[in-house]
Amino acid sequence: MEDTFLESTWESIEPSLHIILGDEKNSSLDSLMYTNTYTKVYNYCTASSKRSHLNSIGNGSNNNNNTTVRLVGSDLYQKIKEFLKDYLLNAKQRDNESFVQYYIRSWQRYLIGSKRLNDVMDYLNRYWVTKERSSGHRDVYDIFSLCLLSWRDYKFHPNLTTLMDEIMEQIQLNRQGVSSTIKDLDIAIKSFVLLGFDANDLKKQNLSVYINDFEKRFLTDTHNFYVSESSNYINANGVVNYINKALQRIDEELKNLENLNDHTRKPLNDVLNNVLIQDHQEKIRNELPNLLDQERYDDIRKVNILLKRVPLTLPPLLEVFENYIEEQGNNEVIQLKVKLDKDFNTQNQIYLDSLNEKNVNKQKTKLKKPIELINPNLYIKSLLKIYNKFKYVVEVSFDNNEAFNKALDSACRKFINTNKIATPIPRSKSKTPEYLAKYCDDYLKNRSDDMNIDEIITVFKFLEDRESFETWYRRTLSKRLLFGNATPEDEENEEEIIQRLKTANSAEYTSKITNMFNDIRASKNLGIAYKDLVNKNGDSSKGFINDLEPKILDTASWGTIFKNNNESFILPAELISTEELFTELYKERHNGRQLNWVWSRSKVEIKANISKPGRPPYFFTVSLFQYAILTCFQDEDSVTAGALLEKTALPQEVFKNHIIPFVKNKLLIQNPSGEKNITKVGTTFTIVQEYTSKKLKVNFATVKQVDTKTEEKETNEEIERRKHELLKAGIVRIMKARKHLKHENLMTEVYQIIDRFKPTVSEIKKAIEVLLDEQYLARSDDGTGYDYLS
Amino acid sequence: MTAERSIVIITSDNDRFNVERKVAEKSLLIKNMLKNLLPADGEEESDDEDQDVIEVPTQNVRSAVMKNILEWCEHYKNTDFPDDDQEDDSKKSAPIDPWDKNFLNVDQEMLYEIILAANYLNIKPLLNAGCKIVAEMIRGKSPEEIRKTFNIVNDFTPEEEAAIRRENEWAEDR
Repeated sequence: MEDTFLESTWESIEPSLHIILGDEKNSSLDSLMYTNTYTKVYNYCTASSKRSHLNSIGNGSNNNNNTTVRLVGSDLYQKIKEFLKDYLLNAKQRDNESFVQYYIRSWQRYLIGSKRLNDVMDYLNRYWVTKERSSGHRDVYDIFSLCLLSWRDYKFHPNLTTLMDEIMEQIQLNRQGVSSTIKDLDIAIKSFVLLGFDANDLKKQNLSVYINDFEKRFLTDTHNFYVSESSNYINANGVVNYINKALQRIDEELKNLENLNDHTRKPLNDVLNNVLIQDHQEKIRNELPNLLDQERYDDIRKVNILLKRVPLTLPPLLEVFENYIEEQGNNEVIQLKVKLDKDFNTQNQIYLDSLNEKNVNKQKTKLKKPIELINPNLYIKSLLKIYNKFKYVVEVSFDNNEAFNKALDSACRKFINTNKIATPIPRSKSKTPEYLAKYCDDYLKNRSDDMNIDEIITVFKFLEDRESFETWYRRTLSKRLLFGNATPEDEENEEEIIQRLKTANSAEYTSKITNMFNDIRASKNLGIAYKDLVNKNGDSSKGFINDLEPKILDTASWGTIFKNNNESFILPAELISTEELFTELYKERHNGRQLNWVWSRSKVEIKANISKPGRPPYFFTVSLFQYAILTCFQDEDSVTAGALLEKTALPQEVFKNHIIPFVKNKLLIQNPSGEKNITKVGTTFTIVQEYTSKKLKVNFATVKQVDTKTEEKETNEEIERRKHELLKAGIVRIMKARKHLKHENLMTEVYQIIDRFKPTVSEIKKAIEVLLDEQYLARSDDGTGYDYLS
Repeated sequence: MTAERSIVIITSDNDRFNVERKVAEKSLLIKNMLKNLLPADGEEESDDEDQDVIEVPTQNVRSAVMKNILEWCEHYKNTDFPDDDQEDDSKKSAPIDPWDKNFLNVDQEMLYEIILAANYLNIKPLLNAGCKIVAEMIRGKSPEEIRKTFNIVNDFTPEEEAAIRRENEWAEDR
């Protein structure tokens, strides 16, 4: 049946459709035309529906239920579809515009027109289209979608290659800095987004067209462009310029993302990161040492900004950074060593020269033989210099980033513990703990302005062998406490260091150090108590020494002080009552404690009435051993070595060391003279009748001190002992908990539990051997591990 | 400036109604049309700025009906009806608003014309209310009663009627 109604309807609306979509003359749409078109469509749909309803009834029982009420619109829909096709195929590019310009211009107009057409055809959408789609006809679309689909089929797909070529050309021109003549390129790109459809849900955004037809090509072209640009640029302009260029490029591209769909953000970032950063990471990374050499911290900051966009480039960068710091640290120490060696050689040459000159000129100036020593201050300062330098770099160039701080720490740990000065022989024990302890000592004694506690703690934190440090620290501390005269300010500094060490470690770590302080304080009180006791006893106290300065020291904390305390010695008779009175007082206060007198450490101050007549008496400071020797001259002027040895009961070597200062300072005349004869039984010593010295106070006790070599040896022995004990205690603790362990597992656990130093394999093995001997452990039956014996 | 233009609705019998934009836009037809015709972003269209009045011809609605429609629009001008066209079932079975019921208490002829106009102008809440009124009139009535209510002549042949009954057997009240 010829549908005349459709034809007449179509005839009346077609001119308006041209105007709605946009005609050549760009005629404007008025409200009458608009409502007329709408009404025509409405009338067609309603009238046709009525007729078709009647028709379907008329056709009788052949029809199934679904078609009894049928909305009409299909024919009109087809007409619109055809119309859009014709319209789009007939629209032509102008002569003076490129395809992309034409595309943008016509798309903008078409988009507006499509929305209007959709509204004018509202009645068709509302009933016929909705009904068709809800009964499963997915190939029927609302008029707006139909417009877009038609565009896609007749305008977009046939010209896609041209369109993309021109779009990409514009993008590339833009990248080359040529200002684009095309406005609104983003409109063309965004059309790709609208042209994607989800046939099942027209409202849902579907990026398939955008991704397949635009994004893929865009990413490939971008990739290719930057592959060639970046390698040309880096070769022609060097790494530093390249970094700036790359950062600028990334910035530009991300800004241009505004014109694209956000979906492209991630893949574009990936392309840029791969091409601009990852592919050149090695060159960039290898530039770091040069930049550090030249202290170009701002450029380094840029390296970091660039590389941190690709996290996997950071670990190798950190490695370069760490190695560089370690190398710098080692070099700094080597330089110091060279300088110290040179200074020593110069000094030594002057000394040797002076020896020769002395022979010739009999010069009076006596130069001391220089000693080859490392100056702890210079050494620690060198370490700090490197640490501080690179700490600064981490702050200004690497955002104070955790990972870079870790690399810094790790590098410092290496070169601070192992370097030319700390370990002159490879794998030997590090001397840094010793030097740091001496540095502390110097700081606490002299408090120069360029030293501070923070520095000490900084270096301390890097020490692997904290056990050594603690022992050395106690050794220097013992001297400060016994021989120094501490001001309240000194004590404050001492306290602060201990507090800081405690925080950096544990209370247990500093417990011995703290005990040493407590001993000194307690001793003072005890001294006062003793004095009170003597004074109270009044006249009967004649035999007691009033001015006793006792130092009661705990063996565990004071360590080496008690070494060599096994000399035989007879206390001079006049001191015995004092010893007894004090021992009584101590026992009364601290019942159950054992009190040992360390005679070798005691000093005595005496008044010596052997001046020339009319001159004031001298005051001698002597060791207790020296005092014992001198008392022998109370009744006789000459005494033989044999008699002196017998009366004092001192071992020959100790006797010799203590009598030498008297001979050298001409208080005693030795006959026959010569060091070899000192301990010969027949040698006599005669006390001078009138002693002469420029000073009224003479100190004889200082001359023979333990030399540094011995001190070092002693201290190291103490450290070894201490470590051995710690290892044994640790192993027992582990085995007690585990009962049985394989050898390797025990080793692993020991490394975990011992945190104050890094035990060597042989140290651990030795501790295990001893524990096996002492029957704390037994080898397991299969011989691969140990059992705990309770 | 465009917002201040007044809107004149012209009916099929050439009556003119001056209405507020808010009231007129209760009709989606008019709302869409205004959106499309009034350039939002300075397009080249409708250069005739001298024209302060927008005339909206509504070819399918006569003055008497439009008067009623506009009364409804005026009443609801500040009400926002949800825009989405997927109404849920609860709304379909909800009782008619009392004001609407009273408003639609008109003779059958007028009622049909209001429904048709609401459909034409695309005023969904009014269309729904109208249809519900008609549904109420049908509910619980036999075909004979319905014919009487709506003044319908039974033009089925007995065969046709039997066929229809068979087809709609499923809907019978049992």
